[in-house]
Amino acid sequence: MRRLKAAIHHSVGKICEEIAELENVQFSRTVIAALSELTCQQLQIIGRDLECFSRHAKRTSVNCDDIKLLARRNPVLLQHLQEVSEQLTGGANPRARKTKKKKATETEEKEQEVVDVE
Amino acid sequence: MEEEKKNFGVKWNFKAQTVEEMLKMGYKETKTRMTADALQLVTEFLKVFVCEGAMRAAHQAKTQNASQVEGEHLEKVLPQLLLDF
Repeated sequence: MRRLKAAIHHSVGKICEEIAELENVQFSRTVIAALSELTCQQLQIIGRDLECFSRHAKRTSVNCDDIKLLARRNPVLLQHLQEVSEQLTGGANPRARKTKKKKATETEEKEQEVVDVE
Repeated sequence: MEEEKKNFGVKWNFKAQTVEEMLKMGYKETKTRMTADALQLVTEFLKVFVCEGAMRAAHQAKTQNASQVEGEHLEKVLPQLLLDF
């Protein structure tokens, strides 16, 4: 736990350094410490939320969609995350559509069968 | 809301392993897993969160004519930051 917090503190420090350069200001140590503590708390909350989301979708693993659900109240962030996820998956989206279509045709076939029986 | 493209010029990012371990602290069931893409997306989420917090605190400090960002500046932007994420 302590090492994790130290690692996060380090990353937050690096990000703050970059922003300090961009904005021409300096960050005091208390600010960085507060930000990293905030990040730790936020991560645990996010973890619980993601678990609940995936469970609600009857999955055992957390998906990209769960994270998009997490960002639903912030449209700008949602769009940004969507772009990033598209970059990550590449051309995986068409496949998802195909599976949906398959399911649809299957149900149609079933319906036809029912009609035939009648 | 201040989410701007310039936030994402920041290159440093969190280590995926650290983020995953920390997320697991919040889980109630240990069975829950994560896909690699999802983990990447969470790290991105976190990066934006930290960038946004630091940026808003910096702007607050500037409006108060301070060259160093102190705790009070962060305190002032914190409520809206937490509402946005």
